Amino acid sequence: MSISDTKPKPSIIRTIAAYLALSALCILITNVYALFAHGIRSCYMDFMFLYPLICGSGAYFLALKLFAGIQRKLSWRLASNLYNSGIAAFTCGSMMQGILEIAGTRSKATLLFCILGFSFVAAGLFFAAKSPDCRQKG
Amino acid sequence: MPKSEVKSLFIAPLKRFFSRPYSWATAFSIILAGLFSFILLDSFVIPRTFAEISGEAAPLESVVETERERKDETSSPEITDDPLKYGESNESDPGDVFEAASEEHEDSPVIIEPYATDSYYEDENIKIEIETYRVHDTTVYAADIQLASAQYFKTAMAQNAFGRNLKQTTSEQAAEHNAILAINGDYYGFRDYGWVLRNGQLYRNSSSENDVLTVSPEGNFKTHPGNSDPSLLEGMWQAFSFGPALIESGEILVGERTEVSGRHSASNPRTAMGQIEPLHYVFIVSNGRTENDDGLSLLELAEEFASKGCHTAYNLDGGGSAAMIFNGNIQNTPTTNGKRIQEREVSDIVYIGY
Repeated sequence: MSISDTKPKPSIIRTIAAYLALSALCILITNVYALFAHGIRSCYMDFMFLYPLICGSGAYFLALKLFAGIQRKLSWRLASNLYNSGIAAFTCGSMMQGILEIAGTRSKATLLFCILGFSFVAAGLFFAAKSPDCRQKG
Repeated sequence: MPKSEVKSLFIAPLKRFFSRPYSWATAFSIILAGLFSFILLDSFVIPRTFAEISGEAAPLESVVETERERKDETSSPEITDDPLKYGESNESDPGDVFEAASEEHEDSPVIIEPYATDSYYEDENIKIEIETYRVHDTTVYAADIQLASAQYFKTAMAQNAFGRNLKQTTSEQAAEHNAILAINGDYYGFRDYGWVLRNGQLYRNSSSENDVLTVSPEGNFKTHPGNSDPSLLEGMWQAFSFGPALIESGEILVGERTEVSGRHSASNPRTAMGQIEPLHYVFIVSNGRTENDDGLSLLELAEEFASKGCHTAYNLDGGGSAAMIFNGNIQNTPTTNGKRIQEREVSDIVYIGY
């Protein structure tokens, strides 16, 4: 598959499934970490599964239902990569914040995850919205 | 640069690279992993020194002088020449307390035949009695401390420096400073916020959500909300930023669900200190996280201080950091996970000594 791949494939279904699996993995990581944290919990870690669940599988499900031809966008692959990267940055940032909070400290550097997340999600949405449909090309 | 040249130089190679399966995911994962590792190392491992501490603690007299000058601007305190005894202090003029103590020391040696056992120490300025007992299925070590002057209520920092991730065990720091009694401090070096004032020297005045404990030159405890005006640090001898405050003005401030920084946790090993009366303190360290010791909740800890008559009590860093050293011997059972009994390296200690 390439950035300029023009053939619509059922990749959105796979993506939704992958995000659901990621959500489950996040819940598992949260609970395993809590076992080793002597019961101390952080809401950042407790709710990090919401990023892949809502912004991941939820958003892709909406895209599938509302914009059926979105995969045929010329830059769909690029937009999808950017958007997924943003969700990954948010999820990792939430986990990092949770680890630091459980340990009793914080770091300004976690802001980088937010910046990355917002930038990539915005870029992904931009390319998804602005890119022409590949069938219109030529 | 022409558009076509830009395309051939930058866009095309990028397209080629990212057209490979999972190349984007791999590249971004590496970036995220790098960022993750950097933050973890920066927060937990990489030591950074912000200020060296030269020699011993700053002389308390200089703090008292500063405090006196500050007070002179608004009032003229009375001066008394009463000699110091255990549990006495001069609330109206802290300077006289320490001057009297200094004069007394000039006339006679500071330490005269100290008497010490495994759980007791006494000389002419310091009297410490360690009581070990069980409560709430937990072994508790309570040190009753009476001082002739607040100058024996000291703090020290790991590696004699103020910084981040500078660490030594409580016993190593206690040994370096010839502490008679030492407990772990507030682990200031693990955070980059919260007030840090040690032995009269202000190192950090950024506020935090953590309650603050100040110790005046007279040796009196007072707790404050973490967002209090930093001007109240002026003329103070010590300030800690961990909390929460357990007791203030004789009233227990924590409930059954209260936990450090609002985090919900089970019972834990604890370290805390309280004041009964002027220059009369209680340090408590409890075990926890082992088969034999459940640990204490903050409410149970506060009740222990209340039962000893403390009007003020304040929680310090606990968990695996909790440690009490008396005459060079560790009293409690320090553990992080309950499996391995080992002292954790911490960034600072509170100690009683010369």
